Amino acid sequence: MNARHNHFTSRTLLVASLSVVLCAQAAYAQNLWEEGRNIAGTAQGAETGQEADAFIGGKFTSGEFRSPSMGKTVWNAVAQAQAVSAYDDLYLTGNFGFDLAYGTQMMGSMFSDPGFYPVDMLEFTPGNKVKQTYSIGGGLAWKNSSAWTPGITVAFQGINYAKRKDLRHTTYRQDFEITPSVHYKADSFEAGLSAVFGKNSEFITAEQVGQAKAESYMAFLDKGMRYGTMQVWDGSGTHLNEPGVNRFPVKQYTYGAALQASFGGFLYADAEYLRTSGEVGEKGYTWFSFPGQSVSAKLIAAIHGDDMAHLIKAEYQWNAMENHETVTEKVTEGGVTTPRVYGSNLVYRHKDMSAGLSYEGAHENGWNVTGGASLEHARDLGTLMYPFFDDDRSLHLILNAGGGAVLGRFLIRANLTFIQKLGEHSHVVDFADDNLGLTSTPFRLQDWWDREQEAQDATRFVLNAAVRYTFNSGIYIEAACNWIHAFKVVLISGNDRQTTGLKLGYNF
Amino acid sequence: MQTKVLILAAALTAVFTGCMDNGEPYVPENLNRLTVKAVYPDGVATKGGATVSIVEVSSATSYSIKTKENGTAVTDIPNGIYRINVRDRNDDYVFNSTRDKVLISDEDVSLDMEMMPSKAGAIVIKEIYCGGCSKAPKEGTYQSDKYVILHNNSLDTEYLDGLCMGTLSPYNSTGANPWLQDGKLPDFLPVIQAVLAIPGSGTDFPVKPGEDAIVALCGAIDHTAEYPLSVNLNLPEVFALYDPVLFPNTTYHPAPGSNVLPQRYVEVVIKTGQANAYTLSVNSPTFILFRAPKTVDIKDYVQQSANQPQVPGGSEKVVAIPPDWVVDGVEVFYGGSTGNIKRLPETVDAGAVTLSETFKGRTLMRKADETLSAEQGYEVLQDTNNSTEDFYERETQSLHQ
Amino acid sequence: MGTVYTPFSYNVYQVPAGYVMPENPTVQVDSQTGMVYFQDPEGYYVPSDLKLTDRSFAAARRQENGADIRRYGVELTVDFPEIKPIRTTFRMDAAWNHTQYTSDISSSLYRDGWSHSSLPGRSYEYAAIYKGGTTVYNGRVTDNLDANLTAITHIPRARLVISVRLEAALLRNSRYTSDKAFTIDEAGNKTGGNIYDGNSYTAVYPEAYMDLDGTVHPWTEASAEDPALQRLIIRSGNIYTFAQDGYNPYFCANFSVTKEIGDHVSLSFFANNFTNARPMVTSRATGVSAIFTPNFYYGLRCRLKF
Repeated sequence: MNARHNHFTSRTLLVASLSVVLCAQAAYAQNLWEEGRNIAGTAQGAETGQEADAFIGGKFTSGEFRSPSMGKTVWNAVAQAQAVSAYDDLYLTGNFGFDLAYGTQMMGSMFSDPGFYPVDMLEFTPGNKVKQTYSIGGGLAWKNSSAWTPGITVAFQGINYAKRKDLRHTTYRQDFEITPSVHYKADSFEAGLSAVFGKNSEFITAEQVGQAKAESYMAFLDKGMRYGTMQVWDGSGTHLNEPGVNRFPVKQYTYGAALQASFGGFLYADAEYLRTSGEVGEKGYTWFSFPGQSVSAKLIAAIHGDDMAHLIKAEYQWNAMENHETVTEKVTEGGVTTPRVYGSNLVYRHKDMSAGLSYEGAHENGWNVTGGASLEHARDLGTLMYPFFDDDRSLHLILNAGGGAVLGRFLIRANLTFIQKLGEHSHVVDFADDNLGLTSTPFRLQDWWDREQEAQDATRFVLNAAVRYTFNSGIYIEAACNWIHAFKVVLISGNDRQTTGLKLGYNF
Repeated sequence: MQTKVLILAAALTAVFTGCMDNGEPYVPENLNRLTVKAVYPDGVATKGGATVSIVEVSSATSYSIKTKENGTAVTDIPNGIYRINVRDRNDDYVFNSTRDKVLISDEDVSLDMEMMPSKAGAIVIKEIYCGGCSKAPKEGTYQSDKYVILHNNSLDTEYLDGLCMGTLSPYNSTGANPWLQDGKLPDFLPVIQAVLAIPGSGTDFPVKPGEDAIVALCGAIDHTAEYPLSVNLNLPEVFALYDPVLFPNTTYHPAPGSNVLPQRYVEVVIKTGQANAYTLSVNSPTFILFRAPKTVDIKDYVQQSANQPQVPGGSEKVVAIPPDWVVDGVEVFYGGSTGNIKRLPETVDAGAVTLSETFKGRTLMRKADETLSAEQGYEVLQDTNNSTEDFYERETQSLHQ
Repeated sequence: MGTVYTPFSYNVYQVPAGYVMPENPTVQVDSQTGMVYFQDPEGYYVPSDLKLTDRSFAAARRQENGADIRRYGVELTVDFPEIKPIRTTFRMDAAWNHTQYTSDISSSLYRDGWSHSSLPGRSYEYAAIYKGGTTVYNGRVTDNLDANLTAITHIPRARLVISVRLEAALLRNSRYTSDKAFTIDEAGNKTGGNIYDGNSYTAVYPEAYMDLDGTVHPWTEASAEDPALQRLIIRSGNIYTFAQDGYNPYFCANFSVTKEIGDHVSLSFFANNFTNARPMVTSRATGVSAIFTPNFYYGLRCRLKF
């Protein structure tokens, strides 16, 4: 699932990732096409055979360096399976995953993946939440006798996310992506082309069933940079409960293409361009539309020494997104209310860019070292209420270093990431025209914004470590931990957040 | 070599800053020019300085500007659906003009606003308490204590006998208004549920200049006995809506307290609704006082099928009241929601007063006109026919002790 | 369920004249007569004063049969032969059905809460009896045409079965009918137009009405002129009650993947409306938009064979 290419990725630096890749040996003989989307390319280098991996596991996350949308404590139970079958003429991949998360003291975003869309919906009563994620995917490449190999991958994800305390909500998310690809092999080079079509959608149904029926719960509709509308949840400004549309639906389509090329097995390059078009509303109501586009490119050089393989990777990514709020009128005629959408106003613009260079050295004995540096530059412009505007710029440096080794039946790996803001995170708040008699500036959820800015800008490190023991039979047991430590945080109530997990798997 | 590196660096910088530029916050192409012209009635000289308030209905973005010498005000605004009010005063009159739901989208708009002089009423609504309060120290919320206070704003003694009252359809300002046709309100006021009237044969209930009368729309009892944040309505000057046949719900309509005289029970002229308690929106009612002209018998009028239109798209019938019968009317908007839509025409109330929160004991009060009160020696309230200007929101009910 | 109304009367009492309510009054109700007594300071019980006697209608529910519904339809299934190179079979099925009913059943309706047409503080004095229900229409005709296309693909080497099903609602037509409704103008006057034009308000007269003595009077043209009875006329809330209604076609797709693991276990993942397609269709009569595709819904199924 590659739909996550919008700007909020930087916010998710907060999110603890436990996926320490434990394939030290694979790094040595890595198929460079695995870096891209083209399954027909991946199929070329694959050795005939079948491989599958399945595991069940659990993890526990706690710590106060968090946004209120994240649980005070979160339990996850995970089951995952993936398989690759390579035949002479056919290459098949498949994967399935299920993740059950149970979080406490959660409020804030009602979206299953806060920040994925440029709009957000927040509520303010802490309570327990349950999230289930199903993912299923597969791919197929047909290695016929010609120089052209066609292939296709399909990925599907369904999420349901619910809170059972007023203001309660049930959220469903669907994410579907299909990538048809073709690969061409010539004597001195290989080239590939992939098309990308995706649709993701999510809807929130909020309700209030508690005894204090007359008590009004507030909800906040974020239209970008935490500027938005704070209202009783069923007020007409939050769009949670409009006549005829008693939910908050968001959908986004992705379409684009990617080009890949490799030369002599040591140089690989790809470039991808995606456009997205998103919309909030349904049944003729369109409250927001949010078009976006992204460019990403990478160049990888692989140098094989006597017993070492060196990978040098340069990556570039650029994202742009806008959010337009429409002018919608509810017209009632003969007792029937229908929406009419007139023009729109551009209320939010975002751009970000990151560029990075990384190195990976893998020894045939199984140990490896990694290191990298990247820069992330982001700009946001909020224009919710003419002539008021808010122009933000930030620059972050991300450094990381890690290593892994095989010690008998043990496999260990550790990785340290360091994030530092460079220069000032500038916020320019001003008016485009001073003589308009604007009676108030747009409402902002200031305390949330301040805390989120602090989280994003805090100097911090993320330590990931994992150890795996493999039994004779192919069964393995793995323990992993993730620790984020932020320095000098004032508004957020803690400096640390940590996750520890255990899993039991089978490799066959 | 060095120059090449520099050129490359410069080119890269240009590309990078170029693709990272978000552009100007606002460009003129995305804005519209709005020209508002205040058109004064014949015989009143055009002048500047009138206040033009422009409110975007769904986002509540609001602008306040003044007209120039020629009576016009010009401004640039983004796309939206606006409610525009122009108000002004000279030595004799207060002028108002309101347009609701003005669509401005990708085109310039010019409006001629007919400034209407308002006539100050004799009997005015002084307070509307509809929002209820907390049951504290108990759990929950309470709304059986709604009341309205009427005030004699004139120099003469007024008689309340036969004064009619009612609330309009739709009950709340935040939903769709089914009566709007092509954006226009009907030429009558749809009084929903029931037409209420003060009893009396003509001179039974005098109100002296500056005096008040209280109308308890639910229970006329001492609500504070059980709920300290509520009010005591067991008072001799209270008119009580107590009709156990038509409004039999005793939670909302308990038997009035010992201080309320049975001859002060509010009459139900007609009831077209089927609820067992009188419903006044807890967050955004309209409330009007009216009197039929002497030639019309209100009891006959309300029974006529032609005067009982049906709510479009609904099955409930209402009573159509001509706007010129209105003595006073107030439009209430709900602050918890945007998208409030006006139900009273500008001739009755050119503005609206906003109730920010329900169940907090908050109430809507008409402002006192300090200068006139001092001159005339009794409490004179401001009545400019624009409740945005005339009313304010008070933290607690004026009857709360 | 039908409702029958029976007139009844009840008394509303008030405190006896001259009686001063003590701090803790004792009130007694005679269980036979319903008379209310107040205890005076000497301990004697004084009867309360009768304020008024209100007459109204009591409702009772009774079971009754609904109107006859006539249905007919056609179904069709086509199984296409397997397309060998991709091991895929297609199946198409379609169904058309037609439904029609007209109700002649008499329904009574009393509007609780209305005020009396002339006496203050009294309940409304008539219950009405309508033929074919208490709405302006008393029948409906509907036509539906649905079609489904299912594709099932086997990938034996991966032991996978993938099925995709496209569901289409090709035709949705309906119309309310009435043999007694007539068109009216906005003021409620009969205009004599065609109710099926869909551009005027409509109304129906009661078949009869019952007064407070329980006497049933047939509705006459004179009744329509009586302001006290006019309130019994049922008016449509809108102008398109009888307009031809229907929706344009809409589609959605389901998929399921079944993986066989060993000889005994098979695991299926299914997702209904997996693209979360929410196409909006607009009612031809009302212009109101609706979404009829099923909810996005998914799950996992594990099958064990022994």
